[in-house]
Amino acid sequence: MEDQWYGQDPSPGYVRGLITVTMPVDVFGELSVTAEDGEHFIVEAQGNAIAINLPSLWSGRSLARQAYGRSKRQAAIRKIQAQLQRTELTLRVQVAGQSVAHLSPQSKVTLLSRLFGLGAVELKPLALLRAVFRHS
Amino acid sequence: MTKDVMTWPELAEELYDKLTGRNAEISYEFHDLEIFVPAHHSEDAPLARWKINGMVKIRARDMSEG
Repeated sequence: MEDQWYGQDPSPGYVRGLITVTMPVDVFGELSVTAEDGEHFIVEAQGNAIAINLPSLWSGRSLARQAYGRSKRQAAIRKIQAQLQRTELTLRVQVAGQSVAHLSPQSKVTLLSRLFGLGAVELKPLALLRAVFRHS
Repeated sequence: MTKDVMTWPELAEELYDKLTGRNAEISYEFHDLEIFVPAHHSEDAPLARWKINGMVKIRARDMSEG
C-alpha cells in the first residue's frame, strides 16, 4: 500500500515502521458540486459513510472523465482506498438514490471490477443496469 | 505545529492530533467555491471549473466509545 514505508527517510509521524497510522474521523454535511456545463451532483456525508449522489448515470460524466485511462484510474482508486483506510471511511456512488458502486477499506478486487479496471470498487451490476436503462 | 509540515498528509495528521487532543471538530462552509480540475488525465488537459456549495464537518472519532 502506498502509505507503507519500506525505504529510507519516511515522513516523520506519517508512517511508523510498517504500520499505517490511522486517523479515524466522522464526517457530516452536504456539498453541492456543479460543473460549468451544468452537470450537478451532491456529496453527502453521515458518520463514516460518504455518498456521491448523481441524478443519472450520465450526469457523472465530469467525474468519469477524471477516471479516464485504465492504469491511472486504478492508481487513483488505490490512493482513494488508502485514504479511506487511514480515515476509516467508506465511499459509495448512488444514481437516483440507488447505490451502484462502493469502496471501503475492506473492498477487494472482483472479477467485474477487474474487467472495468476499477480496482477494488465493488460494482452492483443490477443497479447499474437499471441506471443505464433509466436514461433510455 | 510541532514539526515542519511539508505535505498535505502531514498537515492532516498534525490537525488530527490537535483534534483528538481537544475532542474538537473542523467545519468548512463553502459558498460558490470555484475549483479547477483537469478535464481528463493527461498532462495538457484543459481545466474544468467546478463550483462547490455547502457545509461539511470533520470530527475525530472518539475511540473510547468502541
